[in-house]
Amino acid sequence: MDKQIRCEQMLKLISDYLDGELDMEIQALVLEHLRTCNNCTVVVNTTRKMIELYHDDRMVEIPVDIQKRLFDKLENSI
Amino acid sequence: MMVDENAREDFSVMALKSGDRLEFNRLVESTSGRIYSLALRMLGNAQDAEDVMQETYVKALRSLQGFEGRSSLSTWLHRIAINEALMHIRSRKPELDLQPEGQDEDLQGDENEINLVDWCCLPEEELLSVESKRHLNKALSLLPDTLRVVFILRDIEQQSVRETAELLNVSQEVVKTRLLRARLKLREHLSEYFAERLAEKRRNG
Repeated sequence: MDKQIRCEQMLKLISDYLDGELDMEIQALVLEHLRTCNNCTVVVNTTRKMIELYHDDRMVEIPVDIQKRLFDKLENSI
Repeated sequence: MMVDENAREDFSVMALKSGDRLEFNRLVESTSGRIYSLALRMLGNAQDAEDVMQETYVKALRSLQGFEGRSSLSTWLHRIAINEALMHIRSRKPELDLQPEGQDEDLQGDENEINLVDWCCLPEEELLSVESKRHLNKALSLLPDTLRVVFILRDIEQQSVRETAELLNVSQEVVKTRLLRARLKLREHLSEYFAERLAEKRRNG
């Protein structure tokens, strides 16, 4: 088996790597690749950061009129 | 699964079950921002999001008696909202649940355009600015439904791969492939935007 990962292969493993779902053997190959590949490290880091940004931004202010209509609807529903 | 910090079980389930409307209103006030945000992201327009949110709370009110406390109230509400939103999307686009055929789900086309600017070092106020947030929402809305829904369920709502697969009636492999594609596409979009911010910053010293 080829014991090195190429950048194209790395791209396909990024999600599972970030989710901690890689087999230990593959995980080790990924870490070894990242140790020497700056491009893939950037892709991994920016992907992780992107996910964080979406997760942190999951709260929006609900517009007052929309909340009022919600309460009106609930008032009339039972 | 997501825990809503605002609704960390400081509600009386007993009062809610006995029909205490003040308690229910408190629950609505505390959780509706997030439920609305979820619906808005899933559906992409304000009117549909409002309908889904209303339906979520009407359903919650009617089925409170059956709430068994196996999950938090907030988790329970989010599950109702997710199902309502999915029903809404399916009614206009039944292909949401289709298993992929041929090249539809592989990475063709995604590998050719990889932005390699490292924008992680941008300051938080830049990453979280109003304009950046607008850009985040825009990028999400440009994804096809099949990819957007998986990204929202997995990375925003923090459903597991198995839960997401069950909600969508697809295999776990399909969930993983769609999640990878969604993440790479979103990263590409945002990298383009943040790379410009970074260049601007460098130009201005």
